[in-house]
Amino acid sequence: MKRINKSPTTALIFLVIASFIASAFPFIMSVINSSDFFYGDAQYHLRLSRYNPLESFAKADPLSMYGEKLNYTPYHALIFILSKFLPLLLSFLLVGAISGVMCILVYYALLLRLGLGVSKAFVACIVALFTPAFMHLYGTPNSDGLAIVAVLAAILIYMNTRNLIGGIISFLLFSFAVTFGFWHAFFCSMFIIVAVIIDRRRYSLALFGAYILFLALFSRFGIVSNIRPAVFPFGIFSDLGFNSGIGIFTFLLSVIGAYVLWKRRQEFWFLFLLAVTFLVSIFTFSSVGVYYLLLILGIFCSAAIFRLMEGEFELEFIRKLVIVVVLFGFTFSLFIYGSGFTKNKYEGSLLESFRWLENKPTGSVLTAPDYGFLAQNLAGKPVAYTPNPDNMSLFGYRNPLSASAALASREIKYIVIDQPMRYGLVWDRDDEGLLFALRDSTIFKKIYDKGGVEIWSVG
Amino acid sequence: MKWVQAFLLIVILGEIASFSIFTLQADSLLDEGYFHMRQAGNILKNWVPLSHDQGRELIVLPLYDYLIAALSLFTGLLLAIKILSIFLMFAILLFIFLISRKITGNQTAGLFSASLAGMMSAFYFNFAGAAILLAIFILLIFIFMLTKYSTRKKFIFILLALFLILMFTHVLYLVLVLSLLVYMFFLKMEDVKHEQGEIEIIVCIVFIAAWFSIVFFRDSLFLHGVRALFGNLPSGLRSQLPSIIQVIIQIGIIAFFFGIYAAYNYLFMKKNKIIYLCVSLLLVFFFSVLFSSISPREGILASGIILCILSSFVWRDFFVFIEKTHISKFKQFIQIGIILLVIVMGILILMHEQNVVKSSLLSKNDLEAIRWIGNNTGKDKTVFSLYDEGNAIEAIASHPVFLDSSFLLTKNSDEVFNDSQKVLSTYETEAVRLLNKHSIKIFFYSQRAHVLYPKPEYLNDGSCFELLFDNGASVYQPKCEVVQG
Repeated sequence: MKRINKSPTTALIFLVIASFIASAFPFIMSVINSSDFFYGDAQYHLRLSRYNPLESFAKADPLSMYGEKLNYTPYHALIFILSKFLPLLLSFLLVGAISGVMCILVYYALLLRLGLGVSKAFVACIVALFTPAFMHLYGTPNSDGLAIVAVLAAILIYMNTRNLIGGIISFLLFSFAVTFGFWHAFFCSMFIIVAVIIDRRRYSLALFGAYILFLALFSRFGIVSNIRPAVFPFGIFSDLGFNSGIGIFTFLLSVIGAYVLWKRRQEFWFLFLLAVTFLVSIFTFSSVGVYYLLLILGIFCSAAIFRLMEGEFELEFIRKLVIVVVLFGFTFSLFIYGSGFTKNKYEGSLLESFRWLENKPTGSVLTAPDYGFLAQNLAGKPVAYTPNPDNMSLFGYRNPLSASAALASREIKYIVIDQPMRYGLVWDRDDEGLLFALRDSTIFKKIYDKGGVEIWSVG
Repeated sequence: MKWVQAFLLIVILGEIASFSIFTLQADSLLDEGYFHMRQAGNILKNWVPLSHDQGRELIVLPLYDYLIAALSLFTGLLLAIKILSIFLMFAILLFIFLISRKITGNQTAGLFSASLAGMMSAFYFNFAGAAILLAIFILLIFIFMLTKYSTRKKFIFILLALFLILMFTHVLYLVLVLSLLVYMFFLKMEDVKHEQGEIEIIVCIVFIAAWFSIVFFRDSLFLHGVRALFGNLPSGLRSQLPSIIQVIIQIGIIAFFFGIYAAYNYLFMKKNKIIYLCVSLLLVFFFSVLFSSISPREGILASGIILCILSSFVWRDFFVFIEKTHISKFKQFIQIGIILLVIVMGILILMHEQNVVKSSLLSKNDLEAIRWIGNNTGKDKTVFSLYDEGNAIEAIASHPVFLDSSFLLTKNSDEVFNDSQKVLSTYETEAVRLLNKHSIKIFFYSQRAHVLYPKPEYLNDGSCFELLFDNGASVYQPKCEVVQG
């Protein structure tokens, strides 16, 4: 720490290397576990990155059954352009790694600007870097990462420049972040309000007004706001299986850090305000807030770590024990996050079945919500359910005639069923719901049966 | 030794004897006792507790089971469970005495607290096979050690070791962690003089507990979310909380009111650290029971013991006050009077409550019927019974059951529990449909169930429910199937 304190450049080099490692972690784990790097939501981003930006921005999703808007962002446009020169996978990895490095460097600079010492800012960055949320943000296909870089850069520029040009650049960067979705606009607004209060200028109100105006104008294009709140109270903890979360130990350390910083609340009031706002927002509005919360918790954790290492302890043994337990806790979070990749695997037979479906006549597909994005991507057809649907009523019809009518009303022509769907993913028993209705061969015809995957055509 | 103390000692020995006789004479264990019996049996066979069962996983904190297994090498499983319970009751009373004596500096007050605890009928609701007895014993040693706080390394090791042992015994460790946090909050808010080391130990314990909980309960937390904190109990069971009258009766009228008075008096008027710890424990026990994190049976016993410890303050202060008055020469008579009052009230309550406990246990005939199932039917056949008979069937008959009281990793616990309730109260077709739905091959209708639910009419339909065994407890084989067109 002393060396880092003396040489901020060493800290920067360390951070860049650590950031690359953190961003590469999910990909490395996917390779080690032979799992699919493009799994779940990543399939959605993969599909969008193939679309031409000029034809996709603020347009309706061609593969949505309910006319939902495409969540097309500058991130997808960037991948689209890069993929003209590089393989698609490499484009994703490169954009992730570069934005990860940018994010941590801007975050580091911002912490220094807020008055943290070099070593404390460094520790905060390291804590943030090796949190599953950060790795997920920059190590997997994810458009949120770029938005956060823009928000942080906007604040840094606003606070570091005294002239109007700086104000305008930060306004542009804030506005850029808005294009990534409604919730980024929301969290961005929180930061703007705080930045303006901390560092009030003559043009501050004008800047804020311009931002609100931009937000209002932009919302006419329809800002996508489809990211749900996290499940209370464990939905933010990666140790419990939520990939894009923080470790429980990060949270516990943050609580201690908050206690330590409470004594300096006059100076750091905005951290408490932002932490509480983000925490409430995560559970009531959108789980995207966890990435913003992470940036605040990093500071609290840093304060706690320095309290543990440098503070006075009556029981020296306890200090050592707590540090060991905390280290174990962090390692455990990483281990759990890493081990989660073993499950991110689609069966080859399932991929084959969706590819087979690609050349069939148009019609929507009914399959498990977990396969929704994969089906859209490979079969190129609209799907009834994508992950986290409001309900899955279509799987519940036992009566063949009612089932047929319900499916026809949604223009569903194909039903794709595999073994995990039969036993746990959708149904529990062989004669449950739609599985029972499929016995009526006059309405449902099996058109594909290979490797445990069946495709049924409807009437 | 004063003769009041000798009298209290005799009362305590009498209480232990009464508990021992009741425990040894009982035909059956608690439902939870059968769970531990099965776990201990598995430990004897494979050296490890059962973690997979009937296609589901079990979360086991195994220390209590290992103790039973070790003891059963000399006595057999059933007797080992009973002897362990008796020993733990004795050990708990001993530590209540030690803690009360330590915090009041009055030996008679300590004996009075222990005798109050021994009179609690809550012990009889946790008589054989309740891991909470071991957990409370460890908790009391922990509190006792805290009252003797020191910065010596040996002392810290003992405290941490006790906490680690508690973690492997019962979820009571979570209650302790929360209580310590509330305690810390009290200390800071009320500005009570305390050692820095105490706070450091608490912080360390919180981190260790957090890590342990993630490792042990991760699956359950992931599967059920916040419901896991409530034991994933079906809502039908969660709402079955005892009334305040039942709580007072199980704890004992004098222990309850003395304890509450001491908590009130010391919390707001005299700043005493140990009172803050006891009140913190009481508060957390109360909310844990309210939110079903621990069962009311366990919560009442644990709270009762804390209230008994608190009662020692009332005893001490009352007689310090008496000594300052003109009636101080009658002090010993008053003491004997109070003790006699406690005994009379305690015996009346115990006589009533022992009958309540006995009626809630499986009868001899029930056990015979369960053994018959084990000896005469295929081991793969799923048995329907009341949910709190499931562990006994699994342990004695080695049959899979439709439902038992281990809900922590049960999927759709509400649905399964509601189905079990519905089977006993619905018409034949619906009952058969539900039995088909859960692939139930044997229907066990115990004498306990006879008391709790009127016999369903459809059990008289021999064409659908073949009577296989009947000695007051009945065993049926469902033969019909509901087929949907």
